[in-house]
Amino acid sequence: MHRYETAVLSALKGKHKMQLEELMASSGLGRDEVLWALENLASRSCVRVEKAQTHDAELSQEGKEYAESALPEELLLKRLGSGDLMAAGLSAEERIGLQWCLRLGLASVNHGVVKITAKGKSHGAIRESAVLRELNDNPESYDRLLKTDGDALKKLESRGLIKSREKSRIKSITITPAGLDAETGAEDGAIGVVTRDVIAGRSWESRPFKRYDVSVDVEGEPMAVRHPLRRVINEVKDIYARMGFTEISGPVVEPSFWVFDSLFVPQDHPAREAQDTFHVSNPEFLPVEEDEYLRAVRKAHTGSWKSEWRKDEAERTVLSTHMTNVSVRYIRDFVKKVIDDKAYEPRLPLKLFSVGRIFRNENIDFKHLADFYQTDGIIIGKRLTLANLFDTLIELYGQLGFKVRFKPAYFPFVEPGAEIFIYSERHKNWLEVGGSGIIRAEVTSLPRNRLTVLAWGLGIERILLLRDSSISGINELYNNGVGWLRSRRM
Amino acid sequence: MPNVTFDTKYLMKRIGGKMTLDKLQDQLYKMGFETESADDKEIKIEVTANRPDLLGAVGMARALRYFTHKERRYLRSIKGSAPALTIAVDDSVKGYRPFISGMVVTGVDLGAEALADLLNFIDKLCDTFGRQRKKLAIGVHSLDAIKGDLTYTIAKDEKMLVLRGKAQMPYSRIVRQSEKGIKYSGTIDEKRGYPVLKDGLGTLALIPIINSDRTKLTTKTRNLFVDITGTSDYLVGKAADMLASIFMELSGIVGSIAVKRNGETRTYPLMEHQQFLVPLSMLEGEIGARIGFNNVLELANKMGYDAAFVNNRVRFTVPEYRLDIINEQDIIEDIAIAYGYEYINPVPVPSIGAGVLESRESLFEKASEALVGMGFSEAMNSYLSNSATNFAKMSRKPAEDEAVTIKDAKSANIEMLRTALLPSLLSNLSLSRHEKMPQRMFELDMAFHVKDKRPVESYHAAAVSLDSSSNFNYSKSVVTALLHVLGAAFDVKAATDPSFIDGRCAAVVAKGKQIGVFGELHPRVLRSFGIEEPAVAFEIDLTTLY
Repeated sequence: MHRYETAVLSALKGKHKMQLEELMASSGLGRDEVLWALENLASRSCVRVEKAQTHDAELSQEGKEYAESALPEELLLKRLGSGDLMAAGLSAEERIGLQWCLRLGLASVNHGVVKITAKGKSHGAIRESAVLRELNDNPESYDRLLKTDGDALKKLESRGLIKSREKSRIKSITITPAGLDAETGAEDGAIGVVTRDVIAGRSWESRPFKRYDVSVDVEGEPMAVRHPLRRVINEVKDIYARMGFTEISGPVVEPSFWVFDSLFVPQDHPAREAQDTFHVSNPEFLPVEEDEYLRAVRKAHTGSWKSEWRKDEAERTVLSTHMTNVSVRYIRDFVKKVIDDKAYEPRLPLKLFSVGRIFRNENIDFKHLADFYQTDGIIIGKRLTLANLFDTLIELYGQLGFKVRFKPAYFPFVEPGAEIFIYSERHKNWLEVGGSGIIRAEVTSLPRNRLTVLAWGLGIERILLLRDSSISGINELYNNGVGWLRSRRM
Repeated sequence: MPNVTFDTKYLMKRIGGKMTLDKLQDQLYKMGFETESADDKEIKIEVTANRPDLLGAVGMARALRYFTHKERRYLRSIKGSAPALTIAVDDSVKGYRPFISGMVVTGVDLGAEALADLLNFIDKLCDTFGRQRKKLAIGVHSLDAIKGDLTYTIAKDEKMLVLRGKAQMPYSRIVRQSEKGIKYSGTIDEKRGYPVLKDGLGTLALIPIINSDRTKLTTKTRNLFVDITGTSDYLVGKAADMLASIFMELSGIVGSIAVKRNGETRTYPLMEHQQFLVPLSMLEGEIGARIGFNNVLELANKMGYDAAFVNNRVRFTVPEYRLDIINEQDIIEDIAIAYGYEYINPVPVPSIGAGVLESRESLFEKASEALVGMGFSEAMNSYLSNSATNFAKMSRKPAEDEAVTIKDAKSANIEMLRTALLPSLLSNLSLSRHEKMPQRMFELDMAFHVKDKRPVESYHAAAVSLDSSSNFNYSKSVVTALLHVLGAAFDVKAATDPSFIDGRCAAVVAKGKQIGVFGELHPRVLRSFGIEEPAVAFEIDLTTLY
């Protein structure tokens, strides 16, 4: 063994794990000598060298200017705060700001007048601005910011305001059992690593095993895990199944008919507009069959809302804003069977549920996502009551560990309707988690004395957020950071 | 759901008697309305979309008085007298903004609080329920300033002096340049002309934008004329009833007007009171509580209905200001609310057997367990993506109309539904550069395509392994183990995919169809995601397997 290697090993013997600087000091060697020795020792598995990737960020000229003043959208927003502006009168800088404000939904332009939106008014400081300033003051803060402001960093980088650079650095050096053997084995003839040779050669009959220091700190083994949200979804499914509910599923990309019209939502209802709902451009329309059910829906709309009902509007493709499209498709098939087949005598009540992704046209931020999970449940039966609905939801949430209460609420497709609140021990408050009610006869197209359908739609992420206080926001669930996943508690 | 801000003092005054803010919020909750915030000055209430009659303090206070038994409700109607005004409707409004109603009110002393509340109510009503005044708009004028009978017509571009205006202005300029004109320009079709209301002296209002200065209200105004216009005959009639009821609450005397069209005359407000006969058994049967004959009439009154027994059934008479009562179902809800949701005792629904999960679920669970066993952690990602991430960064080119595309997304990086899961996983891993290697991640969820103009929704399994020792054989061993666990018969064929290194990429073929691809990711792809560690990956469409 080279004397540099011996020096490094005996320095490590005392403490097992060291930083590079520490090792240089206690071995009395220079940086290059230590690095040379470490490379050799690592190749013989006598030491483990742990490296860390670190980053810093370099600001572009433009980035520096903005860091010293402010981002153009911030400047524009400030100006808009004190009154509307004419688009034609904006400076080049403000035009850039306007583009960003429009994208973020903070301002709107109508007939050449730039206005601040409600969102713009309530919007706090622009996060990217603070991040940019921090990087300007301390380029090394990049790694820390990466954990809290990944999105802002990404945006700044894509705007060419910053450029991140990767550096590799030795984080720590640990001596391995093999290293301890190499260093000390010759001294006392004790057995270090148990090898095949040791076992086959029966050397343990005549030599003692070297004693290890069992108090040495080690890191937990990085585990592969299921996603915590998946675990909650599976838990919800299990609870449903135990309560006698069977799973159903359906499309995500739907004609408006199944998302709105069949649920008695009038065609001029604001929720249907692109402002709230994702409209699909390919395929822009999806045909809906002109059948008995469609005619019943048309009649319900024209009769009750006293307004025109257009089939082409019902065929506009959207991304479903709830899971109730799945429920109502099932109800429709069920009712069709009941009407078409006089001999069909279903065993009631039928208990059904679905779990899936729903979509809202939202600006994505810390609190808002554009797609997230919902579960819908229905019970199809005869003479079911509001009391039955409440019992089912109390049982469902009870199994999940929550207390429930109900508030009257309005949804076009149920009557009576109720919002569901669960008690959060953490917030010491009741939080709304979904809606429920008895489905209108206009939706089932059968009078309620022939058929009652209880229905509800519940958010899923909320359950996880209320249980695990280490999760700061809903967006954290979908970042899938490797370190985050590995550190979850089950 | 509209959020309405009420002046706390005025609301309390109209409710009458003593009520603390806490008690008020509690009552509102029981009626189904959440309070956003409340203090001595303002109270912000979320009014549900079915109750436009509660968008003002007058209506809200009335509902609270009934609900807390401070007042017995009664139906309002107009004492019969000849119409005070006639509006002649010109044919030109047809297919544009066809319907008009209205009323006159005399002897009403509005005062600053009531006037502010009334105008707020009208604004909220026309913006939300009236769909930004397109479906419904309301104008309030000083009756004394009106001379002779009125005409509702579509006019050419003429001039008028608008409310608080300095000089006469053409309609076209009002529409294009004034604040209200710009805000409600969606209601005007300038090519066809401008809906206006005229009397003997000229234009009263450019509808539904702004009134003339001549008929403006002052604190001294005691006599009013109200015009209500829109595209729905029903709503325009109902809104007149709703407003008439409010003016009567404010002690005004409401008089009718006549609307003449094609020789036919109708009188407004209609003051219609719908009636429904509902058996008590139906109310009790849907709510699931024993209410009893003794209580049901009182519960009806609590919600503002007039109620009586007729042949073992309850006859509900709906007050004129309610426009959300379509049939018995709506009345059942009101009775349930009056009864109190908290007093409804839960009753279990019997089950007729165990529930069953979708059959694909067990396959997905097996696959997930196998992948976790091989050291892959599960990721869950948004289904929403963009062309840059989904295609360009992967070095892939989209086939024509292959993706489900989205228009008018608020977030700039949302353009489509993802066609593959690997771009999501590589985006995740690009943010974890500082974490310990190796990094292995999988996702099992949906991907979307368009085929023959129809969306195709399928479940994929995909995984990436970032590891300096990863190579093609490793990816093949993972795919082989996974498909073995799933009991799928498959072949492996050499394949080309621009995301992978040519010659180190293979296709998974099952039942004669290519269902997946795996191999070593191309450094170009890794770099585009900011990854500098060698990586192997696979993505398999599970559709044929379940």
